Amino acid sequence: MSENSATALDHRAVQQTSNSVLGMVLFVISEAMFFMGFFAVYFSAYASAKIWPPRAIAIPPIGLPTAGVLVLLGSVATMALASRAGRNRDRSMITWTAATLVLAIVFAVILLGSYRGLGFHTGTDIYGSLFWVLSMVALAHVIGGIVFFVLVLIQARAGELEVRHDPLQAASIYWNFVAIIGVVLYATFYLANVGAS
Amino acid sequence: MTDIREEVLEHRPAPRKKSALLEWLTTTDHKKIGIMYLVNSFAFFAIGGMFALTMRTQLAQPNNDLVSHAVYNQLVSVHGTLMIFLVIFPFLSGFGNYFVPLQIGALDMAFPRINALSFWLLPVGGLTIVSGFFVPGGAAAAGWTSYVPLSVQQSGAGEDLWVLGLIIVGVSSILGAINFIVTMLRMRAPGMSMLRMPIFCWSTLATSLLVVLATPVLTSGLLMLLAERSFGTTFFDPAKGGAVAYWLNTFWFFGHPEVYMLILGAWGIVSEIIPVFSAKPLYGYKGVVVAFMLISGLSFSVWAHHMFTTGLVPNLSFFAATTELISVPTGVLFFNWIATMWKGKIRLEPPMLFALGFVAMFLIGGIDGVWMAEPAMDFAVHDTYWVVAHIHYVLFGGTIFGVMAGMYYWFPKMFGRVLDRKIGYWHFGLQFVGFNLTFFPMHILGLEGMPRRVVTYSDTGWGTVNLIATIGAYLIGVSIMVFLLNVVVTLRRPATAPADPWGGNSLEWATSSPPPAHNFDELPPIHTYRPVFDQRKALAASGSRPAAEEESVS
Repeated sequence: MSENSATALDHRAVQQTSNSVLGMVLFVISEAMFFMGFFAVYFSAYASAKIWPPRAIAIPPIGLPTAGVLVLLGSVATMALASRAGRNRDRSMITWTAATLVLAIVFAVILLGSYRGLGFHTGTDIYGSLFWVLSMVALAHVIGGIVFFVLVLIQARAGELEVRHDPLQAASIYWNFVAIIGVVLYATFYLANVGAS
Repeated sequence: MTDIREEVLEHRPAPRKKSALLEWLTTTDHKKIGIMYLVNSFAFFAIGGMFALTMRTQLAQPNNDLVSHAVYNQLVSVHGTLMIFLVIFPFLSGFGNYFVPLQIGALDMAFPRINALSFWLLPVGGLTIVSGFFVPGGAAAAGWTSYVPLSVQQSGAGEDLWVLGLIIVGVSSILGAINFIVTMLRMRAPGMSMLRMPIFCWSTLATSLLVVLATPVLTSGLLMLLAERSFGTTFFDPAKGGAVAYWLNTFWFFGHPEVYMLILGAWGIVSEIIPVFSAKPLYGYKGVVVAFMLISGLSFSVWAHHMFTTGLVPNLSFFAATTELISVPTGVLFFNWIATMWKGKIRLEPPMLFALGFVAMFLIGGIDGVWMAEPAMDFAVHDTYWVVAHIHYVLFGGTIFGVMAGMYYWFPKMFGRVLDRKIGYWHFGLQFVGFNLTFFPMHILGLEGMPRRVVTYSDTGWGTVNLIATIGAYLIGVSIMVFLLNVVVTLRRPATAPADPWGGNSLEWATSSPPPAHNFDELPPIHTYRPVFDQRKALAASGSRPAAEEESVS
C-alpha cells in the first residue's frame, strides 16, 4: 500500500463521525420512511372516517401501555448515560448498556401483555389492521434493539469499546428512533383515545 | 489506538488458501461483488428474456394458444418484476460496486461485509419470486404492480412468494444504497472533493438517496399486502374502512422514483463515455450534477400520473405539471451530451455507439413520456401497448443500451481484455434493429387500442404488426447471444489491456486492468474531476509518453 492511501486511512481514523454511525443515521432515515408508509395510510383512513376509532373497535385500556412508555423513556435515559460513559471511555457504559437491555426486555414484555384480551383483531376494521401490524412491526424493532444491545455488550466485554465508540453510538441512534416510534404509537393508539367512548 | 491496530496486524494468522469457488462465495472485495452483480443480472436477464420471447411467440398471430391465460398472466408479471428488480437495477448496482470505489480512489466500499450481504440477498429474493412457478396455482399473476384487489384474491402461494421476494430484494437495495452513500461521503481519496467525483458516482449517489427514501415505502406496502393475504387485515377493503388507493399510492410513491433509480445510473455511464470518446470534457459538469439532484427531488412529486384514469387523483393538472417539469432537467442532460460531442473528435468505438444508441432511444422514450403526461392523452393510451412501448424505450432502449455501453467501456478494466470490436459492432447493429423492430410498432398497436397484458387478440388487423414485433424480439435475443459470444471469445484471449485503453478521465484508469485487490499502488494527484486526463496532459507536456502506454499489463 502506498503512503498516499495509508495517510488517507489514518486521516479517516481520527475523524469524529464513523462510517457505522453515518450508516446507522441513513438506516434510521430509511426506517422512518418505512413507518411513514403506514402512517400515511393511518391518517388517510382517519381523515375519511366519521367516527375514529370506528365503533367496532373496543378502546384498549391505557394503563399498561402507559407503564410501558415510561419504561421506554427510562431506557432512553440509560442509553444516553451509556453513550456518555462510552464517549469518556468509562467502564460504567457496560452497566448502563445492560440496564438499557433490561428495560428494553421489560418494555417488550409489557407490550406483549398489553396485547392480551383486546376486543378487536386484524380484520375488525382498518383500525384493527393498523393497530396490529404497526404494533408487531414496532415489537420487531424492539427485539432488534435487544439483539443490538446484546451484541454491543459482547463487544464491551471483549474490551472493544475502549478503543471505538461507534457501536454504542449507533445503538443509541437506533434505540432513540425506536423510542420515538414507541411514543408516537402510544400517542396514536392510546393517548388519542382518552375521552373517546 | 494505533498500538492495538499494529498488534492486531502482527498477530493476524496468515490467510489460508481458499479454493477459487469458496473465494468467490465468501468474498467481500467490491470488485468481485460487482462482477457477481453483473453475472446475477445476466442470469435473471436470461429468465426474464425467455419469458418475453414466450409471450412474443404467443402474440405473433391472432387467436394463438401457445400458452394458457393463467400462464401468460404469470409470465407477464414475473417478466416485469425480474427485469426491473433483478436485472436493470442490479446491473447498475454492479457497475456502482465495481467502479464507485475505484473512481473516488477508495480501497473498498465502506461496509464490505454488508456489501456481500446486499449481493447475496438478491439471488435469494429473485429465486423466491421465480419459485412461484413451482407451487400449486403458479407464480404471481397480478402484474408487476400487483394491484389490489386482484393480488389479494389470487389463490396459491405464488403471490406471497412474490411479496416476500420483493421485500428481500428491497432490503438488499436499501443496504446497498446506504453503503454507496457512506462510501462516497466518507471514503474519497485526499483531493477528491464532492464536486470532483466522476459523474457516474453522482448518478449512483442520487440513485442511492432515492432508494433510501422510496424503497422502504414499498416495503410498508408489501407488508400490508402480505398481512392482507395472510393475516386477514382490511387495509385495501373499502367495506371495512380500507381503500384500494392505499396500495396504489404506496406502490407508486415508490414506483416513480424507482423509474429514476433505473435510469440515473445509465445517465451516469453515458455521461462518462461521451466525453472520453469525443475527446472533450463533459459539457456543464455541475449542470449535470444539479440536473441529477433536481430530477431525484422532483421524482417524488409525480407518482399520481400513474393513476390518472383511476379517478382517485384530486388534481390531475398538478401531477401533469410536475411531470412536465421533470423533463426540463432531463432536457438539460440531452443538451449537455450533445454539447459535449459538438466539434469533438468522435471515435465510434462500441461503447460510444451504445452510448449514442442510448441517447437516441432514450429521447424517444422521454418524448413519449412528456406526451403521455397530458391527462387527455393519458386517458386515451392508458393500459394500451403505447405504455409498453414507452417503458421499453426508457428501460431497454435507455438503460440496457447504457448498461451495454458500460459493459464495452469497462470490460477491459474488469477483465484485462478489450471486448472484440467487430463482434461488438454486430451486437450493436442487431440490438438496435431488433429493439426498434420490437417496440416501435407497439406505439402503433397502442394508438389503435390494443390493450397490454392480454394473452391474445382477435383477427382485427393487428397480426402483421405483432408479427414484426415478435421477429424483432428474437433479433434482440440473437444480439444478446452475440454479446455473450463476444465475452467468451474475448476471455479466451490473453489479458493484454493497458491500464487506460480509451484515454479515460477518471481514477479507475489510473490502476492496472484488472486492478490489484487493494485497487491502487499509487494515486495521481487530484486537482479536478479528471485526474487521469490531467496526469496524461502533464506527462505529455513534460515530454514523456502517456502513462497508459507505459503501464505493463498484468
